[in-house]
Amino acid sequence: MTFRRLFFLLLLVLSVSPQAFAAVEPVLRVGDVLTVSLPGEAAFNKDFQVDRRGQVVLPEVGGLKVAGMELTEATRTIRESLGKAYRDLERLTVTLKERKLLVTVLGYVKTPGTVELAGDATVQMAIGAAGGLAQGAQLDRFQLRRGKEQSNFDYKKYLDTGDVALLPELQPLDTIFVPASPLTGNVQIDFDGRTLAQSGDGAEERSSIKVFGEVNTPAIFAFKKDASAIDLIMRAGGVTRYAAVDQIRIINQGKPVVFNLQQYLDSGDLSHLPKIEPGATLFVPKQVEEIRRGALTVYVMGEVAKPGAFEGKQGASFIEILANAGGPTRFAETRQIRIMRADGKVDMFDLVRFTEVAGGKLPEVAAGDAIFVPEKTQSAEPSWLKTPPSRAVQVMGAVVKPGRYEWSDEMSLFDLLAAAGGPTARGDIAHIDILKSENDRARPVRFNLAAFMQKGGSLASVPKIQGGNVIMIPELPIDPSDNKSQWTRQASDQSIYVMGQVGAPGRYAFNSNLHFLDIISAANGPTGSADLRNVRVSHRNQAGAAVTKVNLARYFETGDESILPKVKTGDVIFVPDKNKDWLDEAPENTVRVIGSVGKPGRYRFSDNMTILDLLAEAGGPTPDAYQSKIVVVNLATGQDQARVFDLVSFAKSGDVRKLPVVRTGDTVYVPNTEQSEWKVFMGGVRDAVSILSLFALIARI
Amino acid sequence: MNQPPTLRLAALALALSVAACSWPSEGAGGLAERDLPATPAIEEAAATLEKLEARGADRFAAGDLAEARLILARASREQAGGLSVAAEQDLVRLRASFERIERRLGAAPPTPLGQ
Repeated sequence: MTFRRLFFLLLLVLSVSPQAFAAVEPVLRVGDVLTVSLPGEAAFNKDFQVDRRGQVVLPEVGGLKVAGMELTEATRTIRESLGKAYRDLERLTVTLKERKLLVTVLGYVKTPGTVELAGDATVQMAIGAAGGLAQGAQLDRFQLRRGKEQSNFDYKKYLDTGDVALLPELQPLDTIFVPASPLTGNVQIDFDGRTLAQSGDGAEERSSIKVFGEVNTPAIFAFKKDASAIDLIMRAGGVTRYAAVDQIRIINQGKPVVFNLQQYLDSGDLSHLPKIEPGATLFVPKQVEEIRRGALTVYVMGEVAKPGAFEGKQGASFIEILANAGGPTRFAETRQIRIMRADGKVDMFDLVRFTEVAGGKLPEVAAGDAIFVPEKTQSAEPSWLKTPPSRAVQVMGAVVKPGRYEWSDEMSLFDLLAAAGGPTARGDIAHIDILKSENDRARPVRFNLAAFMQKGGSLASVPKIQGGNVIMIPELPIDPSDNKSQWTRQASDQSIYVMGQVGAPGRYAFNSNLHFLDIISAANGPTGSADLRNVRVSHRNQAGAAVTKVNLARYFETGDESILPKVKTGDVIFVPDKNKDWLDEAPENTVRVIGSVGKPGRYRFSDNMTILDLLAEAGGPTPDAYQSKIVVVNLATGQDQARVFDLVSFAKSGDVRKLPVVRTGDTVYVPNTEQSEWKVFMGGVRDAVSILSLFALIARI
Repeated sequence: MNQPPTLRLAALALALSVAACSWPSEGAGGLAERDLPATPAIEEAAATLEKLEARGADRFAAGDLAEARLILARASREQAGGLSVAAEQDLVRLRASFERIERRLGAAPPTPLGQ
C-alpha cells in the first residue's frame, strides 16, 4: 500500500515536472505482464510475462531480458530484437499491462508452492493463494526469504492489529515460510485445531508460561505482560473441582511462590495475587480428599462408623465427638483409643474401663486433636504388632501358653497367669520372676505364688503388673539327682546342698515351704553308713558362721520335730560317714578301750550305756585279760581319778553298784594277767630270791 | 634280832615289789541311776523330770526329754562315782534342758533345782 501511495505521489510530482516524467517510468521486474502489439502479426497482440529469469519470450526472437529496465528501454530493446525478424516495426507498441508478484509460500499452508499475485499483494494474500494456513502453523514466527536474506515477522500481531506496516512488502521471487508450532510435536498427526489452541500458544519456550495440574486444559501459554495468575488459570480453562485452590504453586524465575486463590477471592486483596514473570510455571495441585482444616476441627479415625474431620464446638466432649463419628464399630479396640494431641503428645483412653469399671473423667479433646480408634486384635490375629509394647506383657517359662498378652491395668497377676493357661506341672510358682521396666531400666521382682496361695495375705503384696513387664515362671529341675545339665537354670539362692552319706547328694531346688526331711528324702535319704547322730547343717545366708548339729537318730527314736533344724535356701546339709577317719572323731566324744580286749580302740558312748556295753562292743576281754582289775580313768575338771572294775566279781554277784562310772572322754584299760598282783608278787619274790642268792654267794666268798 | 643284813635286804626287796603293784580303789556308780541312793539335788531333778513327763513332755518335747534323761543318768553316775564337780556341771545343763522342755510345754519354768 505504501508503495502504491508512493507511486501516485511520484506520478503527481512527475505531472508537475515534465522533465522528470520520463525518469519515473516503472522498472520492469519478474512477473510484470507486457502487451506487445504489432498490427498485422498474429503472433503478437497478446500478453508476455516477464519470467523468473527476467525475460520475455517473444516469437521469432526468443527470450529477451527486460527485468530491471524501464519500459522505454525495454521497448527499445524489444524493437531492436524484433527488427531482426520483422521489418515493419513502426507500429510496435509495448505497454505494461499489469504487474504481478511471483511468490513462493512454503511451510504450514494448505497448498505450498509458487503463487501468482497482484503486484501489490500482501503476505496475507499470498497465504490465501496458497490455500490458507494449515492447522498447527505458528503465527508469530513467519519467515520471509529474499535471495539469501531471511527475516522474521509476527503475522499474529498483524492479525491482532491490522497494521499493514507489520508485514514486509513482498517482492517477486520472495519466499514466505510458515513454521509449525512446537506444540505439534515431532510426529505428524492430524488433529483438531481446537485442541491445538487449547494446548496453548507458547512458542518461545523460555518465556512461555506453563500451566498444569488441576486445570481443565493444561497448556503452555505465550507470556503476556501484566497477565495475572488468574488470567492464566482462566486461559487454562479454570481449575477442576479437585483443585487445591489455596495451594497453587507458581515458580517465578526459579523461586516458588504459593498462591492462595481462596484467600484472594475471599479478600480481594491484590497483594495476594503474585506477578507472573516470563517463563513461569503455574501448578494447581490436587486437593487431597477430605482434608479439612479449621480452627475447631477434630479428627476421628480408625474403627468408627464415620471417620473424618469434624467441626467441633468449644467444649464438645469426647463422647459427643465419638458419637458424631458414629461410634466405634464392632471391630474397634475400645480399650486402646488414642488421642493424638495437636502438640504431638498421645494420650490413651480405655473406654471399656471407663464404662464398666472405673468411670472417672473423660479425656479433654481440643481443636486439632485426633482420636484414633484402633482395630481389635483378634486372638487368631497373626500379627502381634498391633498391640504396642506399652500395652502388652510377656509371659514366659513354665506356663501352658507362654506368649505376649494384651494388658490392662485393672487386671492382676492372677488374671494374667490364668490367661496364659496357668503354670505347668513343672512350673516353680514359688519363684515367679517379674521384670518391671521403668524409665529405661528394668527392676526384677520375685513373687512367691505358692506361699500366697497357701497362706494368703494382703493383695497389695501381689506385684502390680504393668504394660511392658516380663513375667518368667522358672521350671523345676526334672531330676534332682541329675540336674547338672540344667544347674545353671537354678539360681544359687534357690538351692540347698545335700552332701555326704545320702542316696543322691546334690544341689536341690528349695523354697521356704520345704522341710529338712523333704530335702533329705529328696536326696533319697541317708545311706546305711550314714552317721545319723552327727548330721551337720551349715547355715549360710546369715551373719557369721553357724552350724547346727542334728541327732537324726534321736529324732527317729523320739519323733520330736524340734530336733530337726530349720533349713533355708543356701544351707548345706552334711551327713557324715560312720566309718570316718579317727581324726575326725573328737576325743571327748569317745571312750578309749585299750589293753586285752578283742578290738581295742575308740568307741562312741552314750550315757545310757555301761562299761559292760563298752567291753562287749570292744570284743570282750581276751583270755589273758586280767579281768579282776579293769581300770577306768575318769577325766573330770579337777577330779581326775582311776577306778578298778572287777568283772569277775561282778559276774559272780551281779551287783550293778560295782559298775564304775564311764563317760565319753574316759579311758578303759584291761590289763593282762602278767600284771596280776600274784604274778607281780611272785615275780618280786623271784627277783628277791635271786638277789638273796647273789648276796649269799657273795657272803660266802 | 641279829639277822644277817642280806635277809633284811631281801625282806625289803620283797616288800618293795609287793608295794609297787598296788591297784586303784574299786569304782562304783556305773548304773547309779537305777538303784543307788542319790543326793537330794539329783532326786529333785529326777522328780522334776517325772513331772515334766507327766505333763506330756514325752510327746511334746520328746527329744529334749531324752536328752535330759541322759544328763540325769550321767549326773547320777558321776555323783555316785565320786565325780561330784562334774555332776554339778551336768545338773546345770540339766536345768537348762528342763527350761527348754518347759518352754515347749508352754508352762512356767520349773522351780530351781536343789532349793
